[in-house]
Amino acid sequence: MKFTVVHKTEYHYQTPASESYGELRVCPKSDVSQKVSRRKLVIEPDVKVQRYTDFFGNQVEYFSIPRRHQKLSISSRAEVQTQPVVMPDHAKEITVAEARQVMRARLLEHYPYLQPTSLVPLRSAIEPLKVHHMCRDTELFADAIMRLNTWIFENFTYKSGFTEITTPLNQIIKHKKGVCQDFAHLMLSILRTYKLPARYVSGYIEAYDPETTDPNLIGATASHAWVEVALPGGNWIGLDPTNNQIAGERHVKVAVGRDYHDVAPLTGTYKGAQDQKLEVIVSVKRRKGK
Amino acid sequence: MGACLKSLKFRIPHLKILPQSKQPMALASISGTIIRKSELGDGNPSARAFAKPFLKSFETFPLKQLMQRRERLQDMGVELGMHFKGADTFSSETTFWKLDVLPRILSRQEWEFLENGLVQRARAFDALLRDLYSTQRILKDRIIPFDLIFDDPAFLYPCHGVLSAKQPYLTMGAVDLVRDRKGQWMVTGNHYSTPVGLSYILQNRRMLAQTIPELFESMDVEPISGFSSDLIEVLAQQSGKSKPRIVLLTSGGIEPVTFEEAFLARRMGIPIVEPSDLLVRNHQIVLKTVGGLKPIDVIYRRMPSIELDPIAFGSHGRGGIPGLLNCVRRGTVTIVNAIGCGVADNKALLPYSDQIIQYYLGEIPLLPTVPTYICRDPDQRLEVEEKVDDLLLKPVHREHETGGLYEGGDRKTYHQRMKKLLKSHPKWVVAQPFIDASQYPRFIEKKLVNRPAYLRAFTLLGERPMALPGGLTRQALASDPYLYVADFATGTKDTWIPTGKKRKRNKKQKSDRQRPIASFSDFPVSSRVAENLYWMGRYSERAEHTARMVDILVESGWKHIGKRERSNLWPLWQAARQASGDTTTKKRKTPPKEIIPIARQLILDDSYSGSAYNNLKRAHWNAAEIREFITPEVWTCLNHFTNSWDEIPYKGRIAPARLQPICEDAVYEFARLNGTINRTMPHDDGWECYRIGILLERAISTTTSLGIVLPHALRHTNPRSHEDPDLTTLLRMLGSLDAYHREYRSRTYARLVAELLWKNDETPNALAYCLRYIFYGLEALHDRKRNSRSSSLTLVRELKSQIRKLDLETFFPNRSMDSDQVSSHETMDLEAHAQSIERFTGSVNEALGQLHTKIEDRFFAHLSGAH
Repeated sequence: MKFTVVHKTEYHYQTPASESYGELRVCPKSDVSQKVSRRKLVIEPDVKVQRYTDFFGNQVEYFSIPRRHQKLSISSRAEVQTQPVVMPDHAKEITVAEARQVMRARLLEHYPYLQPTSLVPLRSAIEPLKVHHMCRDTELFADAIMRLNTWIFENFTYKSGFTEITTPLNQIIKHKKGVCQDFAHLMLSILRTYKLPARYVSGYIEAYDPETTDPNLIGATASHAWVEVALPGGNWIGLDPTNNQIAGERHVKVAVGRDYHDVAPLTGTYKGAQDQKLEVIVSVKRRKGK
Repeated sequence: MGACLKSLKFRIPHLKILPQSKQPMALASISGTIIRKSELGDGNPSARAFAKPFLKSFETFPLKQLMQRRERLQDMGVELGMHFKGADTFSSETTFWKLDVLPRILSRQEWEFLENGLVQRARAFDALLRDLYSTQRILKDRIIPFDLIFDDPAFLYPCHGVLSAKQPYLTMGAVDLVRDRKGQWMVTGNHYSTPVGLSYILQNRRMLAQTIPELFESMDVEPISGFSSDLIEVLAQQSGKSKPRIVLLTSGGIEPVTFEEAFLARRMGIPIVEPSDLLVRNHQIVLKTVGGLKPIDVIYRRMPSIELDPIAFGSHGRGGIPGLLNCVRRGTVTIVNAIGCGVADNKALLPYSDQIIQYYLGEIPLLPTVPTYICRDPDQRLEVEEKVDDLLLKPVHREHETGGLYEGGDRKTYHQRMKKLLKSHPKWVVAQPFIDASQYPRFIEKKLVNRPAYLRAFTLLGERPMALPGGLTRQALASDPYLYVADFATGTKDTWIPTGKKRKRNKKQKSDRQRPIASFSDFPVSSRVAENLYWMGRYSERAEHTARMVDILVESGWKHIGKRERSNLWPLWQAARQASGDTTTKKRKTPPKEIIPIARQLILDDSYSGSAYNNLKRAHWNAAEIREFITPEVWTCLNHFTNSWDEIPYKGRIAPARLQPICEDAVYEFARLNGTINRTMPHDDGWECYRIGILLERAISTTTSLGIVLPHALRHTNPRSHEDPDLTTLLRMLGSLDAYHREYRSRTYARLVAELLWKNDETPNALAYCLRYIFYGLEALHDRKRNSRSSSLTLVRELKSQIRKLDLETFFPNRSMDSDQVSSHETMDLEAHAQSIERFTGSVNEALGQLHTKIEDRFFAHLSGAH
């Protein structure tokens, strides 16, 4: 499918800000499952944007606005061609224990995605969930991760506004409520506890299918988060516990990392009073002609 | 790994406390035994041979003289501010510098071996850092377990791939060494991120040479003073520019290292800056100075990597420089040592030292490393737990990368604390055996006594890698062997290396060298310093002004005066309040019953932002921010004053009778502060900013006061009355009554008061005076920049001429007022005149506000021309 993704962020400052510096992780990735064409980034006030690729392979864009400004607006626009994604056969034919064994060869590469982080605490953090039945050694790998995906979907309620990014995982576990970011962190915690490398993905989702009468997919105003699980074959597969499915044609991937902090869309600083108003508009529109 | 450690045998320190011999008259009688038992005697004949003639000359020193010299050494250290404070909470004691009169002498041969080993090690760890932040070959080849690196918070993911393959990571490094009784040198720890101690070495040598020059006659010592010029040259080499701008970056104010930073910066002729002095402009790091933005090429880093860039590493410490890492990435600035070097200091890497050297250099490691248990390894941890009290536990990283050289404190507490850490976080603990360190004689009390000696040695990797000849020798002072651990050694020694053939060549090289470095004078006063001085001026002036006004007003009484008098005094109170920054009382037309609460609020109320107390505290805060640029006299003066106000009890309920003396004192104290500043601070750009701050604040407060009192006088005063008492009070409040009498020799009339306080440029409280000297100040700032086109100067010029041309007739047309006659239609016009005064003062205040913004943009924030 072909999408036009627009991600617009606007800050309004009550008293003028100066010395704004920002790093953006909003540029969709080009990889096996998606191709990006016609990328456009407009920042107001007008400044030069520079780029680099970070440790996790994400495209980072950065800018600085030294002069006083009442408003900062960042508009990122991209056309993305996505592909359907299916679980590869090799993942269906191998047990969890075997998969773990195979992946040991890539431990160096996978290491960061097996570690706890401030947002993804391991082991004791998920104790109250009693998920010992998950990811058993003898279970088939593909089944195990899909079952976990479904289990989160079925046991947790999507509720926006209930949590913030700083809400610790134990609160989400306690109340069984949260948003896509929380479910992604939860799933990472379980997978990593069972020594399966998994990483956080930020991106967009086409929340409403314009062509069918399918139930709407859930995303936070089209800005979305899910996880990627390392496959024994060397690739990663995206799983979306919020929508109980493989991250496929209607998911547009932007950045990956150990947790949300590695992929935050905008990290910035400015000088001025703490009274800014933030407005974010994200839209994912399907383009004709597939 | 575990197996090889198990086979190690640990020697138990067998340190004897020396027998108390009879008091010698000179040292000669006992030094023989002492020397035999020291490292000069234990299988180190070459060192002894070198030291012999030297020791002979030392022995001839009369005891009394030696003690005097030692005292002088200590005094010099105190004078220089060389001391160290315990970084631990349990030892807040300040310990003064203890430099021994007897230097430690290493043989040439021993040193050459050491130098080669030190340089080899530094080169290998430099290669390690470059590899870890790029291809990670050493991890892929499984030479070092990768979890060791990836779990280390000092390994900074965002730094991965930032530097090109050729850029150095580790420029200046240090290691801690110990020499065992057999003469075997071993490394006990790396300091490859921000090594501390260089200044102490250079200073020790200088102090010793000044205090006991005789000693140096007996031996040619390898000079060390050139090391700081070597360092600055290597720093300069990093940029590839012929005249690079180099700064020393510190987080500021951490006790044990401020001396070192100030010393090194002065020695190298580079400015000390803090993160808030620097800014990213056009992807280039610039230094904000009063003279504009100066691009910086090389940053000599003296603060932890993680505090450097909040964008890259999140917020730590005092803010950092957003975008710094991206400037490094683009190559517009070089940081020395590179960001992320801290990972090389992880003590759990120590057991891999030999492998690291072999892996990268393909050389046989020269300097062994003290055996180190890594407690993250379960097997090794078990072993450590078994004999925990026979081992020295250490955290893998010091709490701060820059970590104090001397933590002081009590070893028992330390050991208990480390055992706790071992239990809770074995990952962060390593253990080393106690090394029976070689002893070196030290002059303690009245005799030479042997004490174990440790060495911190420095390396510099430039075009010609080198080690500083010698290093910082540390010794435990106590006779308790329990404290014979390098970290508890609080005595120091100069370390001497006999000159080799190399010396002559070096000398020639040095004289041929040209200093390619931008000199100190190329850097005008930093904007941070200037801005703090400016605000110090403004806040102290505001506080002084409030104190003086309240002093006069309280004296004028309230409780026992008539209603009419009260309503005439009330505008003056309003003026005082408004000048302090409050705008709410202006609306209140009727005077309150009680005035003391308002007076208390204006002077001592901590919660009222405009109170004199609050403004004083702010001025104090500004001064503290730039403590190193304030003279001790000014600091003492301001500090005492602030403390005395802090200590006033029951500020909210203070008796009316006490209020006035407090105000009166404050006026004197501020005069003293201002005088001390003018007398002791250099009259540079920073001082100009202080002056401008004072004058601008005064201009604002005069304008504000007149804007309230004059319209009131026009509206309410009976022109036929003999004198206007409120205007007299106003003049007193503005310290201008005497000036008025001199100028006019008449009763106070509104028009004349206005003329004096607006137009007279010789009366210090007058607007014209303030503008005149603000203009001079700004001119001085611009002159030094050779740039006369400035919007702030233009603004002041316009304002000045506007005031000069101001026709007072438009506000006070009633010339007949002078003759005490007034016509009725003129009375009717008074309201219109009062309003036009309000409009005028309002517009002046607005212009002064603009002037503040222009000054701020131009000299402090550097935003001018950008909006």
